[in-house]
Amino acid sequence: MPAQAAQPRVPVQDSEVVEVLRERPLSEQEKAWRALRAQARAHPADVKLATQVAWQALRWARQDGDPRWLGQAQAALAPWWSQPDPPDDVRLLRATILQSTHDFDAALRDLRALVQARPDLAQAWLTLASVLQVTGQYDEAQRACSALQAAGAPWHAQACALELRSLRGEADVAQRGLAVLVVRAPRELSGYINLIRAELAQRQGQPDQAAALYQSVLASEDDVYAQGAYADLLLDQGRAAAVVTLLKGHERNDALLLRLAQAYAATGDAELGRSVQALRARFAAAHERGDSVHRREEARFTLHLLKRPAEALKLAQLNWQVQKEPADARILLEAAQAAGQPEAADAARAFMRRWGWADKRLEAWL
Amino acid sequence: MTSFAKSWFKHGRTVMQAMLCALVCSASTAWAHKPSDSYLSLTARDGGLVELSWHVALRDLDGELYLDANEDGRLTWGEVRTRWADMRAYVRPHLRLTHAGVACDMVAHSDQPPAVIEHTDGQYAVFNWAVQCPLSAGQPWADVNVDYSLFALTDPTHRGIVRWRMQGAGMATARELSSVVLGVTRPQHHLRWTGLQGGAPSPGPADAALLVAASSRADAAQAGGRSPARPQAAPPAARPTDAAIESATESSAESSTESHGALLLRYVHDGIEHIAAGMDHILFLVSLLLVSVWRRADARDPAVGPHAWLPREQWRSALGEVLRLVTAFTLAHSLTLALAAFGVVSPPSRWVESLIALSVLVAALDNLWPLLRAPRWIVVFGFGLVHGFGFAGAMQDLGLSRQDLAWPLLGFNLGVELGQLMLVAAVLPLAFILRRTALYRQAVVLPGSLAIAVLALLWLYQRVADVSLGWVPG
Repeated sequence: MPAQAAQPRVPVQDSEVVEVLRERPLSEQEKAWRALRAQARAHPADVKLATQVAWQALRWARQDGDPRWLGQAQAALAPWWSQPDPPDDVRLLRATILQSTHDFDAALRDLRALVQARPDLAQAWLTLASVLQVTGQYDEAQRACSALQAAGAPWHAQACALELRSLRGEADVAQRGLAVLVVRAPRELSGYINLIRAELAQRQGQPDQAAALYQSVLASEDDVYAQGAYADLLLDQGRAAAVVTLLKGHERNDALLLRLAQAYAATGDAELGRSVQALRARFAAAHERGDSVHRREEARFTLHLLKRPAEALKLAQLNWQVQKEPADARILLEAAQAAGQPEAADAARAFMRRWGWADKRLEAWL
Repeated sequence: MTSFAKSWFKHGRTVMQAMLCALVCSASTAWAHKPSDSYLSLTARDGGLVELSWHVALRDLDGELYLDANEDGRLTWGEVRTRWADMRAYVRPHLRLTHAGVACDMVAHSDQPPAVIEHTDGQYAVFNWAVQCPLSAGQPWADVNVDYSLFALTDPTHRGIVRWRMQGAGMATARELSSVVLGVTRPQHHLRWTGLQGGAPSPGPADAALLVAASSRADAAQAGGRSPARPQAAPPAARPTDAAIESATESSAESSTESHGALLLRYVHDGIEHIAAGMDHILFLVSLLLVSVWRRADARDPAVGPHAWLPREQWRSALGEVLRLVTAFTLAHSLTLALAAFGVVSPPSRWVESLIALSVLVAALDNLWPLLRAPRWIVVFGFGLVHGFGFAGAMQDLGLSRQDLAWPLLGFNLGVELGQLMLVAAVLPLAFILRRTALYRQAVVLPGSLAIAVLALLWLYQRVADVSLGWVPG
């Protein structure tokens, strides 16, 4: 069933705004991109044009969090998309798109082949390291971090290596190292490094320090990821009202709407019903097209807002098979506890023990 | 840490200039909005008629048809309504129905005004058609094929969510039959059914529209099967993201805000740090330093075999040897670093790295067996040339435009030099004091050189074969 209960309607006034495409007028940059896209379509064999179109679309995908840009990026690469051995730039883009849709195996295949052929491509190493870290393959991730140094990205190499160490039983060392690194590294890396520091501080049980770091990241860039992580911290601290202030107006983004709904639930806000409805419809719409990418969010939604721990546990278990970050461990442990089957989260416990993760927030469930 | 950064690769850096970085999704800032979908409702009736209602996102149509005439980011009803015919004409060819291999005919509903409908990610245009398939009255539906290609070329992640329903003449409401998701990974759906003989519906299960998959492609693997190109929702904002590896322009802008003095110091610092981080570089120097307090026996020393190591008598002769080596090395690597930095030469980094490993190996082995015929400083000069190319990559992260290179080069070289001198200061006095002892010979130089040689051999293998042995340090 389509996830919608609306009926068709015929607007009366020509002046009525039926759709807000973007919060601002069409920018010169977007016009230029459209022209470039037209040019690329006219020259389907031109790799350079195609990759330019795709990079820009990917940048916007990140900025707006709008997956339609991923579709645009993939379309630009269509002539090479199915090739086993596409040009390097195409391959890097393809891997980036694939991991964006959580097709980690395919992304890793591309990235490994790419760094073999072009060990000088820092971006390929960095993306590889990130995907490996998310999927819990720390040994190989560490090698990718080291390779970044040789690929001419020493600051990223250090940040990358320190974050991994923080997940491998050396949280204190990593924390000190990152604090030094952020001072020494070029300023444009501050946001990236401070985000790593903020998450680490949370695991270390230092919420105030984490909050200060999130605020400094958010002061300099409108980073959706940081907003979500900061909202989680505030929710943990029982500061739901601050979450509402932070995220009001960001309802288009489902991950942020989820946090907003949790804040409404905590404060008994009348908006709760509507946001739960919206989230339910959005998850249904995703299922309808065959997506299963947002299991972590869906598990959270199912556990905290729908209060169905058994279903949430199933989702969290499926999610854990794919990704293994602290947040993934957390929802699995929470859901298992709530469902009265703490042993269902043993996989996460074993993983954490194996690598020596520490996370103060999770101690209650371990 | 691998020490030696690659040479300065200029090719392929265009795309990397404004790097996005990892776009790591896990961190799931979910799919703000939604990937592109359209919703089709197909209701089969008697006499080969199918009622089609097709919802297509205004956002997607704008992406191709530029509906937003005044480009203010908002679609007014006027902007949409006046382009209605274009929109219909655009989508219509992308849905083809056939019955038993013969095309059905799409007829516009004249009595349906343009309308919109809301879905989870915004407003959609509602298009209605009456589709006439070639069935005579009373002839049962036999096999229908839907061919869907909307946005196939412009957004491969687009999906058409098709719901089939059936409503015979005697049925009060349409009966849900099935739904299927179509798109580039599955452009066709072929279904066969029985039932809906024209006229009165046969009661019971006969008209329960039995669907039998007979499709060209995995009907079974509908939702849930994975294929590489299967689109899913967008990533959360990545994390290590726009921590873009700096592009040249940005950093030179940054450099203008710092005083030359401060800048020079920073590069000196970078150079020192680079030495400190470069294990192969340190070990190369250590190999040389270990025996700099000795000299090769020559004709004046008949008591020992040719080329045996003898302790130097004079502190000054040891220091002189070290200065010779370090200077030769510095001159050589400054030369090649400058050549690489200015883009004059750009040797393949893999071979540069392999040669560096080889230089460490040779230096260490020469301590154990005399290998090098030429004076040491000449050999060291040769290897210095190679190491300089290795440094070039380390400078790359300073991301400088050509005209800004002079200071950084000077600073970086000074830093490398200072780093080397610190190492000399740490190793040489001790080596000099111990130079005559058996302990130094048996427990320091011999095993030390051997260990360095083994490690260098492993590096050499890794770099030549381009494999990574996880357990090898450096």
